[in-house]
Amino acid sequence: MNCKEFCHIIDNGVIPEENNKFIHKHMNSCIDCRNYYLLMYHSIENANEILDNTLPDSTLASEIENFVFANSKESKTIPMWIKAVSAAAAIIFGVFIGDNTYEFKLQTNKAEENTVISQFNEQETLYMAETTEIIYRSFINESEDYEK
Amino acid sequence: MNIALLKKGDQKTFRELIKATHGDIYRLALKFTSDSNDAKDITQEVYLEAYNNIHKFREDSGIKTWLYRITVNRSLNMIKRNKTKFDSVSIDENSGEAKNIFLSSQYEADKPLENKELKFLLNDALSKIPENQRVSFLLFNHDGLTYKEIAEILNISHSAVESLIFRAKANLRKILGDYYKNNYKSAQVFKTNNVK
Repeated sequence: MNCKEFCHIIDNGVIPEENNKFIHKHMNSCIDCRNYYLLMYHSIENANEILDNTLPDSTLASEIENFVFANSKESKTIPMWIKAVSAAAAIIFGVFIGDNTYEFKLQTNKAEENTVISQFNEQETLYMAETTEIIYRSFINESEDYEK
Repeated sequence: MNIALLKKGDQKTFRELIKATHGDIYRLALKFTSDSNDAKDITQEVYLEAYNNIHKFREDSGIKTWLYRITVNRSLNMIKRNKTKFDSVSIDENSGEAKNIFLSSQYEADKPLENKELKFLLNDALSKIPENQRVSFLLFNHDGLTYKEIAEILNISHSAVESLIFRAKANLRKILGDYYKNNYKSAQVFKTNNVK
């Protein structure tokens, strides 16, 4: 068997049983053809041996278990009692906030009313004082005119 | 494996499933990604998906076949997600390494190619063939899976699997043959001129 015949058989992708012996005999004497065989036939037909086939770390199984049980839907499901307590707490908090807001609003309204009333009283007092002063002045003026 | 218990969410049975199958799932993911960290991530995601969706397992195939199917999908998703990373690995590292292998072989012409060198060349060639051919080829070369099992995993017919693997091998031979002709100079000269 020469190199041309050898390459022809390898290129076909199938080594006939009767040629097996000659193929191996030729490869032992020709390193180029041996490499051609390794690349074109051995690597494809025995890919399982050649590709990454290393075993995982011995800890991988426990790492997977921890990962799965920590991230599963089940672990993320909130128990019913927590949901109920949260809902009740939310309602109580809502009522508390609502009550306080209502009271605060009432107080604000009352304070506003008082401010308006006090403002009104102040204006009225000033007006009365001014009027009294005017009457007093006119009385003084009239008295002075009379004396003259 | 008690599937009924698995479907009830029994953690002990699921632990048994992990112990029995995680090695095969990891090695299949490693074949797709060629990276131990990526393979580990995929393996964890596969079991998480299986645990969350065990009720969807229809039992028309084995549980391991179902896990393999999830592994293939997860691996392809990861490759698509990190396309830039995988492309750059293929172009910058593997192809460069492929040339280096042949260059060093030129200087040591009496040295046969080693498995490590063949692995680089094969991985590089695999990255250049169509995805469905690559997937079928990798499954065929994983722990002696049969055509029938591969057909179940990929949800295609028996004859389609045969055809995909045949075409994958033909394409790989063509790509590897091109490497040899373009880079293994002494062999090229030898093949064309010096017929013994």
